[in-house]
This record gives sequence, C-alpha cells and structure tokens, in this order.
Amino acid sequence: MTEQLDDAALLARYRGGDERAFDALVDRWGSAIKGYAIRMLGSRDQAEDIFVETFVRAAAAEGPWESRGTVRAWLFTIARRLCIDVLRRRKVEREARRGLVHLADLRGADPSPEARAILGEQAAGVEAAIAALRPEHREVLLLRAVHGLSERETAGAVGRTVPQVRSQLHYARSRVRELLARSERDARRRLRRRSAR
Amino acid sequence: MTRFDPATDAGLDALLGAAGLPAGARPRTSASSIRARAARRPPPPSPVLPALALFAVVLAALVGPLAPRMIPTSGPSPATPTAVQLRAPAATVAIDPPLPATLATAPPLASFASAPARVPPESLAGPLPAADERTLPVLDPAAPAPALTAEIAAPSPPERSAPSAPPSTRVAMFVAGGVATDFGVSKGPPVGPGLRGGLRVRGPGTASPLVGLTGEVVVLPDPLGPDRFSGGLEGAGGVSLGAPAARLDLAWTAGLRGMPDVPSTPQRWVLPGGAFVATGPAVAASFGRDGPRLRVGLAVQARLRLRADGPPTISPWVSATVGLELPVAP
Repeated sequence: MTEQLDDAALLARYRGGDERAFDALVDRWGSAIKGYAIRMLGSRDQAEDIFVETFVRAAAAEGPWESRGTVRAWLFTIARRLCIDVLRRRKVEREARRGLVHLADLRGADPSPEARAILGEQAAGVEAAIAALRPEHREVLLLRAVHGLSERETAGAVGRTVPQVRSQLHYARSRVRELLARSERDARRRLRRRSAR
Repeated sequence: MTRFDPATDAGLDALLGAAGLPAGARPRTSASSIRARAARRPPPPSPVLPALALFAVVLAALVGPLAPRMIPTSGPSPATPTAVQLRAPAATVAIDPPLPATLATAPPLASFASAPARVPPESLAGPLPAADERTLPVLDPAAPAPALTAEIAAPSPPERSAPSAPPSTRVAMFVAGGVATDFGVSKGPPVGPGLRGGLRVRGPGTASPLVGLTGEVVVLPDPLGPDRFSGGLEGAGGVSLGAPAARLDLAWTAGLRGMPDVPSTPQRWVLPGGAFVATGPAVAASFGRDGPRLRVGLAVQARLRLRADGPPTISPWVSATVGLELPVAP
C-alpha cells in the first residue's frame, strides 16, 4: 500500500511512526541518490556513504522539506551538500599535495548494462562527458536531464535561481555536445586506423 | 542499438535519460540499518548555542563602552595623584568633640583633605586670635586633642569619573593567532565553529599588557556551497598576563572577519612546499579596560602539509592576524 503513496505522504507517515513508509522512500529514491553521488564523486564507495548519510539525515531531520518544493528535491539537496563537502575536502587535500589547482579530474562512472544495451559505445562517451563538466554544471544537468527534476526543483536543490539554472543547463548541454562530438570523431579515427592496418 | 541525436535539447536529454543510472547505483545498505543508525545518532546540535554565542559577543560589543571601569583597591600612588578623586558628598568627616557647625559647610573636602590636620605649635604662640567663623576653632593645649576620623565612602557609580587606567591614545600593534578546528553543526571542511588560542602582542604605551594570552571563539556560518564568501562574527575574550606584573585583563573583542573563498581570486595561494594559504581583511572592535579600540589587520589562514611517514595529512586551519589597534574616542 505504501507504494501507492506519494513522497510527502510517505514522509508524513514515517514521522508518524510508520517505519515501512521510510523503507518505501529509500526503495524509491535510494538508487537515484547513489547514482547522482557516483557521478558527482566518481567513487562508488563514497557514493554509498553519501546515500546512507542522506537518508540518515532525512530520517532524523525535523526540518520542513517544503522549502525545497518536493521531497525528492529535498533529498537531492542533502545529497548535493554532502557531495560538495567531499569535493571541497578533496580539493584542499589535492591542492596541498600537488601545489596546483586542478579542476575536476574525475574518471567517468561506468555505464550500466542497460545503458550499454541501449547506447552501445556511446554510453561510455556520455559518462565521460558528464564527468568532464564542472561540478556546478554537472549537478544541474544530472538533476534536470537524468533525474527529471523540474527547473524549479533543480533551482531549489542547488540553491540558485531558475534563470541561473537555465543558463548553466544551456552551458552544460553545449559542453556535452562538444565532448560527445569529439569522442565520436576519436572513435571514427580509431576505426579508420584499425581498418587501414 | 538506438541512436539519439544530441544536436537538439530534447535529443540530448533523451540520450542522458537513456544512460540512466551508472553501474553500481543500487545501494548496498538496507533501509532498516539506516533507520537504526538514525535512531542512534544524537539529535543535531541546537542552533540556540551558536546564536547565544553571537548574542553574547554583540552584547559585549554594545555594552562594553558603558561598563564601569575597574577601580584599584589600593590608594593612589604618588605617581598617579589623581587616580582617585574624592568628592564632598562621598566623604564625611566626624570630629569629636563636635566642631562648630560652620566648619561642616566651610571647605570642600579636597582642600580640607590637604589642610593640616593639626594646628602647628608655632601658631599657638602669642595671643590667641579672636574667634573667626572661617578659621579653625581655638584649641586648648591642655585639653585632649580632638580625634579626627575620616570616613571615605565608596563613590556611587555615576560619580566614577576616572578610570583606573586612562584610555590609551597610542596606536598599538597586535598579533593574534591560533588553530581552528572543524566540528559542530558545519560539516564543511574549511569552515565551521572553532576555538582559537593565541598570543597577543601590543605596542608599548598602551594600558594593556605587552604580551597576553587570548582565547577566541570563532563562529563561521556554513556557506551554501563552494566558491562562496565565508565569514562570520568573531569574538575574543580571555585573560592576559603581562608586564609590568601579572594581572587580570578582561578584554573582549567583537567584529566581522571576512575570508573570500574563491579559488580563482588571488587571495588564495598554494605554496610550493604544500601549504595552502588564504588571506583576507580582518576588522574588529575591541572593548577592554583601556577603552574602545578598533583592530584593523590582515588575517592569514593556512593549512599545512604535515610531513609525516605515510600518506600526507593536512593540518587544521592555522590562523594569524597581524594589524594595528587604533584608539577610538569613547
């Protein structure tokens, strides 16, 4: 029965003492939160930690989720902040270690078997392009295009205005297009070399 | 295999949507263990405490100039003859046997206190002067000397016109520093509530000790994300020990310290040795026993690479502030 309730009703039930409602929320959004964290951080282990911490905070929090528009936007807000903490810690450590400021140099996440079946070689290119984006562009593109949040929800989750989100989304799409085109050109070049041999 | 055309926004979004979640996105931790972990976790720290700390700092800043000055318990030394000023209403003089009533209204206490308490013997020679309301009464040498007692009442607060130490008018240098730890409500590594201890060095000529120890409570709000300005209200207070003798110096400061947190700005550098340094302006108001003063300086924060065996570890934020303390007219 809990499967038929929307997120807000599930959260209300959980806060009323129904633990199964919380389990349903985790089932519904757990993979999305972890998938988002994998792409933001490039690490499955750290993404698992982010997933757990996000729902621990959601379970313990008594604050209103309404300020974020929807429960899922609220969950992504928590996950995003946790990811930012990890990225900042990494950046500081990396800067101190190498003496240089680097932008994100993430290795792309591995595409899922389903994505490979649908997209073939393009799946790896998509992951590489997502990983090459700056974090502020990557998070907007992921929330909007992959996880299906509305512009308003995305703006609430990342703490920016809707016009800012639109602008960053536009930039992120253009950059992904560029990177996909470059990856296709490289693939064709490799293919030509192989056939020439 | 389906091909998507990423040339259009809709095609690109469809492509990204088809990519779905990456491999390994299925969580390994069960919902029940998350619930158990949430139940074990202590409730989040109340925002009331940081708010109270801020309130205390602001209150100190506001009330500081109005607070009563410290009064030394010992009497004035010859070098500081005006350190304690006695006023007539605050002092009463009782003379036994009672003097003529005219005396009680005659001299103000300041001049009375400096007048000789005894009539010099030479003045007793010769004919006794006629009784004059404006002179001391005629004393009979055979009679017992009148006992002169002075009762000095503590001045009431509105009459405290002189502080124990006059407000310094000189510009002093200060150096303060310490280590800020990351804990509490903020999980962001570079910022968060912290404690700092430091050394304060002040220039000569000020009423405060030359060298003192300070403790600071730093409250920095959690910024919404990276590349934002991070800053906050800073309060300092503590016990200073210093020259010329160890003494208690209750002083407190309050002010805003801002630290730009944008990697692309020149305020942050990474030194070749691995130190990560950030600088920013520091402005604070100080209210101490030597009057209100304005602290203007340069704050330098650094995280240092600790060269130990094994993987390198990064130190907590080490901060130092160097600047000038300028007197502010109360």
